[in-house]
Amino acid sequence: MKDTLTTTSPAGLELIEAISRHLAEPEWAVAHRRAAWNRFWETPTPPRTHEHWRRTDISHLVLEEIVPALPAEHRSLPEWLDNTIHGAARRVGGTLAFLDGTLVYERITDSVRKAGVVFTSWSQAVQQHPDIIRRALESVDYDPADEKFTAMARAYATGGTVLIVPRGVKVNLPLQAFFAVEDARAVFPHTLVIVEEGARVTLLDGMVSPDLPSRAFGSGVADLILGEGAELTYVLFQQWGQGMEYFHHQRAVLGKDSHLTTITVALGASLSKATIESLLCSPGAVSDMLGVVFGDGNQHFDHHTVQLHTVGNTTSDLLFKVALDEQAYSAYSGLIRIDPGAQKANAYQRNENLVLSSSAHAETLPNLEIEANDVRCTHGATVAPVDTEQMFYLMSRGMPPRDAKRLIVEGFLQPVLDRIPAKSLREMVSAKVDEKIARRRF
Amino acid sequence: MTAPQSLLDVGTDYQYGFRDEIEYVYKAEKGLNRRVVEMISHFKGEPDWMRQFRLRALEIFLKKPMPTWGNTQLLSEINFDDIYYYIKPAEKQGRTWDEVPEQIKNTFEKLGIPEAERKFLAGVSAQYESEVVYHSIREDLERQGVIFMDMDSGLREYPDLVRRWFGKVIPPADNKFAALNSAVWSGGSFIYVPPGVHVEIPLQAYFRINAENMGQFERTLIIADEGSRVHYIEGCTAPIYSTDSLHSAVVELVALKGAHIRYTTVQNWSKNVYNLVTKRAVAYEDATVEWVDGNLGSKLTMKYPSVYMVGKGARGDILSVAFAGPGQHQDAGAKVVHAAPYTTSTVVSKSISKGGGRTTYRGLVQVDEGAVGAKCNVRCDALLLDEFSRSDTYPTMNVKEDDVRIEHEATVSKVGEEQLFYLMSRGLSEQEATTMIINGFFEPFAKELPLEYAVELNRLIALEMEGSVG
Repeated sequence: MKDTLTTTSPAGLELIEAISRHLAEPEWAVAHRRAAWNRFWETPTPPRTHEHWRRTDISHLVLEEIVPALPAEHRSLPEWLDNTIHGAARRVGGTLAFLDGTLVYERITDSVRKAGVVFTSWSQAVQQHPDIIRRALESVDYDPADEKFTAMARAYATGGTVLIVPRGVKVNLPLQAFFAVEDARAVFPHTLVIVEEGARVTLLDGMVSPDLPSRAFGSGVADLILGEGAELTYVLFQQWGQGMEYFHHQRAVLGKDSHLTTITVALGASLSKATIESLLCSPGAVSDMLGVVFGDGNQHFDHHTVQLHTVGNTTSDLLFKVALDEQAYSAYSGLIRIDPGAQKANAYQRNENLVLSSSAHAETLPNLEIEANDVRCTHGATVAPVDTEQMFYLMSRGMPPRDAKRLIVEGFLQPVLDRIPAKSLREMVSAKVDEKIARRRF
Repeated sequence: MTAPQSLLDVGTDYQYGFRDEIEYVYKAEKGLNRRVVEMISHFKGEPDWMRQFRLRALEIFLKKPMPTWGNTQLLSEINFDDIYYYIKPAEKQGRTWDEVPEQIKNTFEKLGIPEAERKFLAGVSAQYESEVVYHSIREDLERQGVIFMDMDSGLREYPDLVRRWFGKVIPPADNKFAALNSAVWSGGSFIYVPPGVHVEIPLQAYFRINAENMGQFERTLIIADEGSRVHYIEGCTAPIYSTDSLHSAVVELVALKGAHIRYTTVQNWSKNVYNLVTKRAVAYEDATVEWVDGNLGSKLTMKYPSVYMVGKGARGDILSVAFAGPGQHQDAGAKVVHAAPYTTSTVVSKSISKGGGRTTYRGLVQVDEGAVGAKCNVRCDALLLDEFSRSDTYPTMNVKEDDVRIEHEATVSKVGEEQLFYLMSRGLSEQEATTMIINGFFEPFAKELPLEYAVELNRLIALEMEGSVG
């Protein structure tokens, strides 16, 4: 791994200066990168004995030797990416596409633009909206368990999406952004979404690539900030090709009476580890967290969710559905944490695993840490095979076993996909999931 | 609902916190080293293999780091050098009640042991300090060929049977505290039930710590031969002392083909005791093992009774109940390992925290490759009685087979306002209503206990809740 990723580019701080110069970033942005790089350098790579890293082996990665390629001046839109974009683009308010970190496609409807919505690349946003970005970055909290990877992503970010929805603006059509990889061996996508007071928006963040000829590395962060009464639906659609090893850290900070829906769809990558965090730190905040994972081959998934209730009168509801075939592995670990004094918090967490092959391997660790008493916290987890009665029923209706199994898997995952509010996105994501299921021979 | 203030300051007096002055026949030096271990083995006149076993375990203990999980802060407060690892209260083991020293009798009197015996219990094996001082078996059990004696006697009288199973279910390297126990163990029960024999009445042992700073390291081994059936009850109370005591037991159960073992514990150590216990059972084909585990006392308990189902059709049932008051942390749970096809297990955990107490459920469900048709259901319920208390749930499910059904559910809540309202509208005071709800919450546990234990449990809960609502 280290050989294929090491480039002749200057390492460390000099590299950061080069990226910043290339993107013509202001000094404060460079300083932010430098600080992140220092944290990255000082933080040791988490050992296998760390509870958070027990289930994913990263011993083959020498993170200090992984460096990003500088974004290219100009890249054209490849056909496969064009197809992906237009698979859903009939009814969207705007689309961005990055290829190996370079912005290659940008289309925003007039109505969205006129409403004052900022939907653009990092480098443009840093120049055009420095104050708001700066404030947002300064509010970011650090997570010790993922620090090595998140600091790396913040230091090396070369592309990614910034979405700012001004106060009171309701964007009815969904927005979509694709972070695509073809040649890059190491990518660091950074998404920042700020939904101001009373605003509303839906964003699909797509991580896509064809199967890669050799191993590639990715470390991404998504910062979601919701103002008072804001509504955000955030769909993380991960369909990296074979060869990608991707680490993702998503943290949402929920304002008073805000409502966040996150939908994590994980289909691709050889190895994918993600932390999905909702910080319920203002009363009235509601966080719905949904997930769909479908793994086959030797795919390795490790999802960690956090429902952190620091104040009372907050609600979180989580449903993670995992289907595994062949030798695929999935670990789901989730934490509901209710801080002392967070009375009248209400938290639910459910993880269901459908195991389709005897060599598939599912682990689930739904955890609760409760330090307030006037709360309602419930979690559930199941691991089970395809229901033979359902199979029997479908087959008795004349359906061949393969199709019956497919239908059952689709039916298992569909309840989560149905909760994607925008029809065009829902159809696109469902189609991709069904496509993957249809490829399975069963 | 916020808990009434007085609810928070109950459970402060410990009923069994009396202390006897005992003349010790022998008292070992404090701290742990090769000499102490050699001495324990020499003093007991053990065979060489056991001496070697102890010494090997000591090396493992010294090498293994302390756990990096759980309540590491409380664990770090244990000073292993400030503990007596072996004390023998009387030179000779009492065979009849008359031979038991008067002061020790008094202690048991207060604990109600002789009454318990009068009340039809099969054998009384009371461990006072490190040796079993009183031990009787009803004659019909002896006629059936059931062996029920303390572990030291078992080693002397049935060396082959002991050697075959001792340390096989829980090897010394399993964890630091199992290694510690393996090095310095003393006392505990040894039970063998011959094929086809059903022991109709529960066998019982009462453990009790008395010397200040004395660790108690009992070792229990129960072997239920093919098609046999046995129920063993272990209960603990201990006097209060100002410095911490360490209790680190190892309990190994072997349920051979078609056998049924039930092991019931009511743990009520005083609130300065570290209770770090390893309990594990192996269930062979069609065998059933039940752990009924109640944790009311101690400062910190870490105990996860486990069942390894290694034979087709084996079954494991674990019922765990915990009550944590001020200054207490009950870190309890269950482990079930499905290593054979068509194995079934259930885990039910119930916990209550109050007055800043903390309860933790920590569990593992593992399904190995090839364990087709395995089924497991885990259910955890936690009640928090006030805003200062804490409840954690840390289950792990690790499934490497597809044709299995694994379910886990957990709920954390407070005492239901509607339930309280209903009971109070019927004329009950708030305290009575709360006590009744808690008794109902513990009902699945209480009903698994023999009558006198259930009565004692209800009494303890009432005691804990007494004066709690003004």
